[in-house]
Amino acid sequence: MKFKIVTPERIMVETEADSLTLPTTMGEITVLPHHIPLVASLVAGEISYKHGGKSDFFAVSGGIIEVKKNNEVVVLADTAEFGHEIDVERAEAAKEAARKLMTEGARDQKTYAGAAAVFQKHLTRLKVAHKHRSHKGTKING
Amino acid sequence: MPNSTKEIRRRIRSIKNIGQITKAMELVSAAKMRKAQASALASRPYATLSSELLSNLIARTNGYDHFEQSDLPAMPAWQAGKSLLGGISPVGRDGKPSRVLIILVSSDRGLAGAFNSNVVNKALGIVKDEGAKEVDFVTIGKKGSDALLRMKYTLVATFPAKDKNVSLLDAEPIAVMSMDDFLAGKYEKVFVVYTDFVSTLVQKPSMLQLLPFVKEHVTRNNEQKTEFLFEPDPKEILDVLINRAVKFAVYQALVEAAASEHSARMVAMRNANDAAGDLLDELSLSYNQARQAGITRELSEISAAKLAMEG
Repeated sequence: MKFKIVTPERIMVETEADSLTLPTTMGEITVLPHHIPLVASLVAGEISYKHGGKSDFFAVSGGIIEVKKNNEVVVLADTAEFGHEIDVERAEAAKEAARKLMTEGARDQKTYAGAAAVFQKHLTRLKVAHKHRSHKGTKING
Repeated sequence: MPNSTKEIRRRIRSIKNIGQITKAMELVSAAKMRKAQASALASRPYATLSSELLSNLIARTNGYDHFEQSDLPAMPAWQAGKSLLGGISPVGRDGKPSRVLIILVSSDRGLAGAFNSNVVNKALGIVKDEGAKEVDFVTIGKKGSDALLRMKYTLVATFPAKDKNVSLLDAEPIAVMSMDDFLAGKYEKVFVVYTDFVSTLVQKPSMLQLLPFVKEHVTRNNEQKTEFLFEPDPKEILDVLINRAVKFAVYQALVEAAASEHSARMVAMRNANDAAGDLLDELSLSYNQARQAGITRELSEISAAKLAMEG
């Protein structure tokens, strides 16, 4: 099936895939070819796909996935990054800042929820960055 | 026309200096323009895809009318989405909104030709057309806020212009603020006024109605409807999508404005360069004339003196 990730800033990936795993609000799902048309919202997490024995993965911070009926999957992501693009130190710093805001600074529920979302996002970015480092051999591109 | 050669030489030197500066600015703007244009173009696939999905969803959910009223009270988020589409407080009796918010995208720096004044004039035109009793402004860029403050308009917020590496994060606070105020009933309409990037030579000051989120944003070409499975459900997806669409609309305005700003500045600087060249030609002509006149005068003085001595 065709698969692409589009963010407001670029088309990040456009490729063929055999299977695709995504974090939705209802939990993690895996999309295989000829999936029925589906629209679901994504949470911050890791998207990974397999194609011909190889696999690759990205960090996304949320968005929408659309599975079209012509065997085509489009991910409209808010932001998406490859493992090698993530600046680990800055992600770590951002994560710590968000954690601090969550534990100390949050005066109301809204700020807390916002901080928690940011925390989750950077946590995933770090996870993907670390995974990228240990998986260097099996990547398709990047 | 200055006539002493010394004075002309001084003018030539200063024009050359200014020409060097404008030349450098032209090159800098050209480089920035290429990047900004690329990111303006890069945002278009997302725009197409998200409006496709949105139109599909709106058709599918009939812009929310499809659902029973009884579904609503328990779902504040879902009502928010409905309101973003339709507007909460009805527009006044005479069809004119009473409170309007205009988001004006200008630049921090000048020397970009009529870039800033065009976009400010466009905003003032909208103020007139809408005939709203009260108009508040949110400005992006110093030039816009300066102009509006001179005219004593109310600014509720100002943001610095971001002319390179614009990201969705820059649009987010602006979008969130206008959605919050809109949902709180503070404004009946929210507009974005920005400069649409057409080409390097053409930039068009434009207006976009951000809220209520009009369906003109949405393309209506794909008639064949797919029966989608929605997770968690269509309403929530529509909310999420409208929310994103509003943020993205602001983002796109920022990106287009950045590309337009650099293009406008590059063209303005190129004109300044050409003018400096013309001026230099003219001045060196009159410099040479003055120099020749001086030599002729000296020669005739010498020969007159010689004649007098011989005589």
